[in-house]
Amino acid sequence: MGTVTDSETDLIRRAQSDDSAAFCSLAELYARRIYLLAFHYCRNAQDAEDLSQEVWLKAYQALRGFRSDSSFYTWLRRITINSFLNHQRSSTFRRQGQTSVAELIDSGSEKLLASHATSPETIYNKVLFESVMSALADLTPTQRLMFLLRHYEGMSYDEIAGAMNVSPGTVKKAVSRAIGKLRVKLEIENEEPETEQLTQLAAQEF
Amino acid sequence: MHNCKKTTERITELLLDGGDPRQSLSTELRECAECRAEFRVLKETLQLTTRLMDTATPPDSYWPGYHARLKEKLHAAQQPHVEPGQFRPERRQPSFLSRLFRSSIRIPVPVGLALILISVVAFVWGRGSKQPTVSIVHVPVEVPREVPVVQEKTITQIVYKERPAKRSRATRISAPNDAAVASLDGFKPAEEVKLTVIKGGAANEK
Repeated sequence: MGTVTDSETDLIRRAQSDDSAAFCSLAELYARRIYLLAFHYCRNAQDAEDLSQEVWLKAYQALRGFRSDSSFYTWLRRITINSFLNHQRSSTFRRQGQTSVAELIDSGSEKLLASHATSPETIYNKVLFESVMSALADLTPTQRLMFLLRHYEGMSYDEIAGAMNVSPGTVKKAVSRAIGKLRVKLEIENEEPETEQLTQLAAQEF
Repeated sequence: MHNCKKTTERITELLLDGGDPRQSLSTELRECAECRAEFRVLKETLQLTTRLMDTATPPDSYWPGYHARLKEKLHAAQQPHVEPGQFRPERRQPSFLSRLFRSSIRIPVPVGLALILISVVAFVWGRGSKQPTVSIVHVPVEVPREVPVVQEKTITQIVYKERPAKRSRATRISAPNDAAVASLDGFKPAEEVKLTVIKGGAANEK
């Protein structure tokens, strides 16, 4: 994903020559990642589509400035972060509230419809979806973005700090707070097994 | 020396990087129950949020529509884009009237404010000097008004007082001859009385 493949290089070159079909092919390669990042950031399916498509429009307009000194995705992600931050500043998300499980089922979410509707797995997925979305809603937009970039995108603190014009310490603190809030919201029990079983369990695990 | 806080931070970093803390922090986890519990909670928190990513992925049927909408937006964005040096059709000159109504002048803000202030003062002054002489006719309007009435009771009591009878002088004098004095019936003057009135003073008297 990080390296620019030959076909990708060719697509970029053609897209830079105003070949919109080549640009759409490039978009097809990364659309899902950008969409999911947008979805987890704004927690609403329609806003996620609008936001991710805005990223692609900006990328299309700025594509002539892409110099291949970084991967295309790294360059695209920078545009994505800037778009998210602009939205955060202007607070122009049209729809308030998050997408519910019902809306996601209406849209035909793969995992929610994968198994039988009443199967324990589906019910668990629904509960999980609601609880994690609710937990993400408790984070500030900046915390949420930093957590997503660190956890989902695997960016380092330095990379996030560079992209968001803050210090690495600020990013680290925000990610730590985000995880703290999530674990409280998700109510994950901090139960230690019985003392007698502890040594046995530790011996088995390690 | 074991430090729970530092170990927790390292566990978080390892989990965020997709590593397994049980390998690099095996000693700490085996010896410290608190760190072991912390590891379990952090691992579960991050696993739950990762599962959300899979759950929220739109189905394959969603993406053709997404890309079609993106193409439309790209096409719309390309419309006003004109390359430098490219032929640009001249715009129709608007008519004199439309130019007159649409024309505007730029004035500095203080000047504008001063003009507005002058207009307001002139308006107020004009209104003040042209006070219309309206004869005020007092129209009596009956307004029913409840007046509290003090309930008064007038009690009249007639008191009969015994008074001592008055003693008149006439009664006392005429007590023995009551019948002669009280009645003048049959009175006749016995002789004529001649009165001579002498005019003048003492010098003429002889």
